Amino acid sequence: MPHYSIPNTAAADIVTFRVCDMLCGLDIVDVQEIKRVHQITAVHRAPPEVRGVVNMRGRIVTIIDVRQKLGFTPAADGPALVIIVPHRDELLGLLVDDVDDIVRAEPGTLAPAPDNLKGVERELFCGVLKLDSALVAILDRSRVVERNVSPRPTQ
Amino acid sequence: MNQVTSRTQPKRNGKATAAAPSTARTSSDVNAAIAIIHEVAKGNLDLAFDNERLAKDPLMAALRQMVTHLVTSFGEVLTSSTLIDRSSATTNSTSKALRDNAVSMQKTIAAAVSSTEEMRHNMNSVSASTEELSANMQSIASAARQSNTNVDSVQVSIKELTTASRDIAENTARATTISKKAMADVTSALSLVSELNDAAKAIDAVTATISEISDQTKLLALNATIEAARAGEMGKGFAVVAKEVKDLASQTNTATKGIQGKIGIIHEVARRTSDAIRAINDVMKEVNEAVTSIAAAAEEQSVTTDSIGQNVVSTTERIKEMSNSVSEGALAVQDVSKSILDVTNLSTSVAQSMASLNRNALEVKADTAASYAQALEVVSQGADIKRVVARVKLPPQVASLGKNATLQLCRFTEDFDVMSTQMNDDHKRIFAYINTVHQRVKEKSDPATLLPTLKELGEFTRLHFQREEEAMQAANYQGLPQQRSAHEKLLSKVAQIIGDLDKGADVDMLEVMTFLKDWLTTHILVMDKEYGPTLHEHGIS
Repeated sequence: MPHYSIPNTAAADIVTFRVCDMLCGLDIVDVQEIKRVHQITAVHRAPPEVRGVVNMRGRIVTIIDVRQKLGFTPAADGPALVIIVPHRDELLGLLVDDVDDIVRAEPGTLAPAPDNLKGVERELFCGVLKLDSALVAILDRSRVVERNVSPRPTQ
Repeated sequence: MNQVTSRTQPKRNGKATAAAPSTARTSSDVNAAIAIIHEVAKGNLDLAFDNERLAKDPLMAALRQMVTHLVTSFGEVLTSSTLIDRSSATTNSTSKALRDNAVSMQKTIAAAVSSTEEMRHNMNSVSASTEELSANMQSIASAARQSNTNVDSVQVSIKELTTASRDIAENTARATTISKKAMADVTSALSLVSELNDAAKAIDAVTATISEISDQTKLLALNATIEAARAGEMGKGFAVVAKEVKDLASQTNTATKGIQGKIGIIHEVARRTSDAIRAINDVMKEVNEAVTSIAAAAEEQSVTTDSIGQNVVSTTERIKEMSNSVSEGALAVQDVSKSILDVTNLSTSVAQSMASLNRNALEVKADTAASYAQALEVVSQGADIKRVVARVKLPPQVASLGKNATLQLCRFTEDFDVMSTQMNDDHKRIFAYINTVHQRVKEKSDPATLLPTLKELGEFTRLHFQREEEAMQAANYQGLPQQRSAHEKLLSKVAQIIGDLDKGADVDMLEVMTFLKDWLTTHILVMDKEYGPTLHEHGIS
């Protein structure tokens, strides 16, 4: 459950990022930091969306491919941009294509997710942010990090 | 009644001496006289006279004189007719032969005339041909001179061509140098472009680094914002700083993108420049190859034109030689033409001479025919005379003398008597010399053989004239100076004739003989007979 209500009554800072050209967002409260990782150590027999783990200042971070989570083709190998999200006691890294900016969501700019999102995708999003030029799909952090929730592969 | 015998007696001064004084003429005297007259009338002159009657009867004496005269005259006539007969026979055969010769000569000459005419015609046509040949040679000579001029101009053209080839060679060499330099420039330009590219790449690397740094800075800014958000109130200042940093990163990013764009343009330009330079380089290479091949061709052409030039030079030499030969040939032909013209003129004059010779020959033919005819006439007249004389019976010795007379150019007769035995003998001897020479001339002896005889004649005549002049001197003959001058004239003429014969000059002996006979007979008959009486009075015999 997000920290904010929809529509929000208070302003919020949203970290906007791109996943396969889809503009998504996360509440800044949920984000620890943004990091560029170079070497992901693969984990044997892990779920497909788990790309592996990295060592960040001594702590283990599990890298999750958001693209796969959202049903896009998996990200390429090599250095990647990861959003470090704390979850319970561990750190998760959401592998995204690009990080745009941190935008302020003024009160009333958050809206519920539209009904035409189907299936699992709908569940991952908890709302949209209306910007001047774009719509940001706010991800539900807890839903995204949940295991065993894999959408059917889409085109 | 030939009882009367008589003898011919030389007359003295042509007067008959009278017999005894007149006595009565008896009838037998008359009969005897009549008988004599009858005999004479019958033509019988072989008569004897009775001496008694001669002494008694002047008529008989007169008759005897007459008969004597007649005998003498007829004897002479017989002699003359015999001589005429002989000489006319000779003359006849000679003039017949002459006429035959003249006829054949005229025929020969006529043939020669026609040959000469033909020759003249031929010479004319040869002359015309030679003129033509000369003209042709002249035109060939002028054509050769013309071709010589043409060859000269060809030579000039070849020299110009050679010069042009050399110019081309020089120019292509220069072009090659220039294009080589150009290629070197291109190479250096390409290396410069390459350096530019490298520089651009370096800038690229730098901008990439800057970009990375910018990204890192952005991340840093974001993380700073996140931390600031986490820090709550305390983090607000930090959030401002984070935002500034984020803006900086963003600017950097934009600038870097701008630089990258410019770098991209530089790359593009450099690439295009490089392509252009390469294209130029390729063109330069082609130009260089073309220039090199032109240079090679020009060199070849230069060599070829050189050899052509030399060929032309030697050809010119030969043409000049040929031209000279043709000119000489033309001159030679001109000379030949002149010579032929001379020969033609000569043959024309020869033809004219032949024509006149032919006319002469025709005249000679006519003359010889006439002379032959006359000779025949003479022969027939001689025969007539003979017949007349034959009718007269002459005393035997007279008759035989007459019949046996030999032909003499000069005959000493009573007419030549100058009343001096010495002089008459001299005259007879002179006549004998002349006859001997004349005989030899008739026998067609070599004139050289006559020379001694003539010399003797000359010498003897000189002696005789001397005797005459001495006698005339002694007799105080008035006509001596004239005689002397006449003698001198004759002697000098004879000396001249002898001199001519000595030199071997062509002397007409017949003419000489005739002249001598005429001169001597006239001189004796006219001038010498005059001194006769004077010498005789002075007792010179």
